[in-house]
Amino acid sequence: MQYDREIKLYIKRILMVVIMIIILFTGVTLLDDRKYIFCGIVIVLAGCVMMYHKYARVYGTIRRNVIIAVLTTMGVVGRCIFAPIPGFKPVTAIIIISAVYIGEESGFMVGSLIALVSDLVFGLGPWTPFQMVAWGLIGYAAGMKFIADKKNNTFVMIMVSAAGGIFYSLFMDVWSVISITGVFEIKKYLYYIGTSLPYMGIYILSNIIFMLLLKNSIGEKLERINKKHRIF
Amino acid sequence: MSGFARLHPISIFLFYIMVIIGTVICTNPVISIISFMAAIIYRIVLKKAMVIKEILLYLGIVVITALFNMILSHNGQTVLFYLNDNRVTLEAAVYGFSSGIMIASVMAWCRSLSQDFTEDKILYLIGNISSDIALILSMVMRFIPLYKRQSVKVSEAYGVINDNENENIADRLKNKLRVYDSVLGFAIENSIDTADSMKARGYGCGKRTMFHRFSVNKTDIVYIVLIAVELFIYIFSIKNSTASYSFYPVIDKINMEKNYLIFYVSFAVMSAIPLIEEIKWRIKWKYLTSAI
Repeated sequence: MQYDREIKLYIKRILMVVIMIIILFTGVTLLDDRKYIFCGIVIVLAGCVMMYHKYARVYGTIRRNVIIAVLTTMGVVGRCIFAPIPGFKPVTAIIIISAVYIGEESGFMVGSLIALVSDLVFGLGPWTPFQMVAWGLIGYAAGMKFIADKKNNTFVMIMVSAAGGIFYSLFMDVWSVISITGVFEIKKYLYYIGTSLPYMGIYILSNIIFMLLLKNSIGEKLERINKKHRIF
Repeated sequence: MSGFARLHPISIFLFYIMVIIGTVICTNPVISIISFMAAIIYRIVLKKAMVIKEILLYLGIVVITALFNMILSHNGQTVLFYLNDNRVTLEAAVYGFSSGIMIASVMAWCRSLSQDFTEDKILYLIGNISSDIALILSMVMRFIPLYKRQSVKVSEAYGVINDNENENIADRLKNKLRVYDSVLGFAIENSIDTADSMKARGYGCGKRTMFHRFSVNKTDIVYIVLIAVELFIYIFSIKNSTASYSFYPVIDKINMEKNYLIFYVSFAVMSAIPLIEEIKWRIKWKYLTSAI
């Protein structure tokens, strides 16, 4: 019984990888000029699906699911409240603070689901998978052990949130380059980074401000719930 | 609800995937223009005069992309003029224009996607892939109004406690943070109760089932077959290099031979599906109301 399930799981994983390789291969060989967009979206979506698969298998207990749903709601509401000010959002700060407490895979889940649900409000599009992975990776990185161990050190947390803002801006610039010019060239990429520098500044500033404002309030509650129930 | 949104989620999803990816990966400007026209006409039929702002936005995007490409790219043979010793070519302008139309049509399709693809359909599709994600998503949808109500309650209670009339911005921000803090505490403490009670009632043992109201009928099958045929023609024309079109070094002529025409017409028919469905529903509605 146990053995059968293991084999099924491996078959599923191998199938996923094979399907992804086939799609990428046909994309690269058949399409000439716009293959970057297609393959980019495929890679990003496949990464998300694999991460979800791993989460559902390893960590998918009901208590953890509910906590992730609560944190996701907080992020989505935060993005909606600050919608009128472009770039000034508490989302990255909320993702980093929660990921530090709930671990790397769950951090990925919180980040990517915030992107998915809030895009239902602001409009879905081909940029949604990119946003999901950008915020998900921020959550994953913040949940890693060497960062999570220093969660009480304010300076480290400020540096992490600044790095999160820089990473988000650089990652989404990849999307704007391949969507607007069709191909990925370093020269155009650098040009886009130059034009989005003010946004990067706003991201970093807002991340640091919200990190300082929300760190104690979210962290205290997560710590307390963990002490009480041993979830994470 | 538009007529197209009444179909089964799978056929709606397949249509949007096909039309968006088909528009994105094909460099042929004819396809971009067909897709743009279809998307805009569908938006106009749905929203009437409210789309004027949207259309202006799309035109702005087209102009900006064309300008960007003219400045950044110096390929092509027909030189229009020189800017800071860099060549500005006709080919780069046409390429930018074409990809601008592509982006604008993708944006227009995504607008109608957000409108046709409501939360229940997304939950239905995701629930088939991973039940954990679907559970989290449906919880988030439920939590948003719940927390809104709770935050109203909490802020009313705080308003009674500190009755400070000359508040400045810092005070107001502080109050907002306190409300946020207590709503968060309420949310996290309650979430564990929810989880425990779900577990006590047997969540996770046995096979999961899902409630939905969607059923596949004849129209869905017809449209799915249509989309499949279009996919076949699309892949075939990409392989035949019917779909390819090169801008550099000189712009290609737009070919109007038989297999090109088949490619264009099949894409046009496919992208008119939501329009057909909407018009069908309007005629049916007129007929039904006149029968009363």
